[in-house]
Amino acid sequence: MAEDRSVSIEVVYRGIFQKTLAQRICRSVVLAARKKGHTGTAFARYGDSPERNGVPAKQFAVVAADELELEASMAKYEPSVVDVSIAVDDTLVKGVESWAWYGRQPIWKPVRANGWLLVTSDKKADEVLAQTDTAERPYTLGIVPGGASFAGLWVYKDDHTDFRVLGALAKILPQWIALDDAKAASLELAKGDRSAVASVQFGYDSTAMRPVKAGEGTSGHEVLQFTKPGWTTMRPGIIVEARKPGERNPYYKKYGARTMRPVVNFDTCIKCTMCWLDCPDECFEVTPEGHYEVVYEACIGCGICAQVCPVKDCIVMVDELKFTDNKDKWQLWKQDHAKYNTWFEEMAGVSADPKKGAAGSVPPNANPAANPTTSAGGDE
Amino acid sequence: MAVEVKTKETSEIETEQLATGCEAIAEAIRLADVDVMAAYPIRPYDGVMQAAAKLIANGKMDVEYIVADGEHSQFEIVKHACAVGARVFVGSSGVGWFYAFEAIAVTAGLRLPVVAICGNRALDDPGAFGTEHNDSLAVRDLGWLLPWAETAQEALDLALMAWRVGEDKRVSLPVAIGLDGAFLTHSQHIVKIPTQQAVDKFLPKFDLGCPNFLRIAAEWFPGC
Repeated sequence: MAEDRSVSIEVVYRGIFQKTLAQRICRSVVLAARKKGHTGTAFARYGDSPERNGVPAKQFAVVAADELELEASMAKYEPSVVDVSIAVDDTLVKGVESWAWYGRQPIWKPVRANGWLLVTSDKKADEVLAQTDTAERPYTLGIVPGGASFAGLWVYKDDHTDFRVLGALAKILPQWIALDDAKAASLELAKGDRSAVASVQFGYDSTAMRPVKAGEGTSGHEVLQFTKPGWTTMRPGIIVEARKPGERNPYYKKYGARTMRPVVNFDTCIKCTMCWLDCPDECFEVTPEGHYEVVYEACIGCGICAQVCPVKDCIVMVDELKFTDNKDKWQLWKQDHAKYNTWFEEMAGVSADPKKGAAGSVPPNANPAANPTTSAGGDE
Repeated sequence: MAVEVKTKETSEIETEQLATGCEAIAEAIRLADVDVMAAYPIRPYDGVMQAAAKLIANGKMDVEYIVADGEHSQFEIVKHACAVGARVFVGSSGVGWFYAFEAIAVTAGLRLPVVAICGNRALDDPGAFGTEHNDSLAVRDLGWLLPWAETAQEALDLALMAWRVGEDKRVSLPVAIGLDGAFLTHSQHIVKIPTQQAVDKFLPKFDLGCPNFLRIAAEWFPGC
């Protein structure tokens, strides 16, 4: 890649929910770079459409010194190598699996050696890195302050996540996006709202950079790779193998769409069946005692179970980044109730004993859906 | 041989936008002061009908915008509107384009300068969104003029040229501008939007005069 002639940026986002946000980021990149005389293009990955709720999707911005260079870089429509990857939800660092195919990819997969991975997060760089797949090559992890934003989705109001990210890009790619140009572009995009300029400056100043060496990260995530059959191994027709009653399809694992997961307090559960009945993905298994246990490999984290559960704090939705695996938790409860309840309280931030009240405070990022505009600065 | 390349004068550029191929076409519809356009959704052409509808909603464009009940009606509507002297625009993609074939096939024979875009899409069932040119190429021998745009800027420029060339009495043929689905229709590029004055200078008002098909009819059926 001719690094001095063109630059490729991708935005990884939660399908549908963050589509407008991703589009705004890509547009702002091209418009800011245009002020320096560069040309560019912004586009979505066609294979992601029609997007499914929460399933990771990508949009791109390619900026080049001139039209010829842009055309040359457009030969590969979905850039296989990018200079910067931007994840607008920190739970995406657990891996990216498109709805159109099987196989989880590390978030840094297309990032070139010594490129950047920007993540919007309320967490520290090391916490995010602890959930990111082991790096194969060095890159810089930049944490842009702010939680997963729903800005641009239906009635959700703007929170300037796009401008904070643009400020961060001005910091790492000054040869393409000058800070003043980013500010001027943000002012135009925000139709003259001066607070946009402050948000760009905030992103520029407050993005924490953490150099990541090859080998850093976690190897704990499940390897989800599928081989495609060649034509010689293809069987005539399409054969869908039946599953035995009660057996789950081992290939149906769309937990990559999850930003939060339900944890269950088995002690307060009244076995009403509501969660089991309303779960759109049939994630609940009935235990011998008649409790309902979540199969985390099948759960996409929609939160309907927590909404329909009539018992307070019995099913609690918890930030996905607090978990490192999809292991079954009912076994732990079965072995040791007290130990399970300690774990439950630590994860859910509520007391396992309903008489006691809250054990701790709910983490600030625990429910981005309920509070889409985060407390990150620069938006006054 | 030296070729003189004429580029736009700076004074002829109104604004510069980051626009998709579809949005660029919608700008061309506005600048060409189209009288009638017919719409029916099919990806990737539908980006144009959305962008055009937005221009109308924002009060930027005045056009008779007819949402048809299918592609067949869509192309019939513009064919007939054009036959009575309206400047028209229409478009479709892939299998939708084929559904309109009864109208498409005779438009060129009637010498009606309908301007269409074909958002090139694979002819596959169900739901193949890939880009291939068989939809456009199917009208190759029917008399339609077939230019393809490479960038969003070219899409806008080609559309303006399509009306000028197609409506020229020496030509009087429909034009189907090919736009690669997704790669061009849905990716955003920097597009220079010309001023209304520059377009008015370039593109005269549509004057159907005595339509060729009426002249032919008069020759064949004297006295009718």
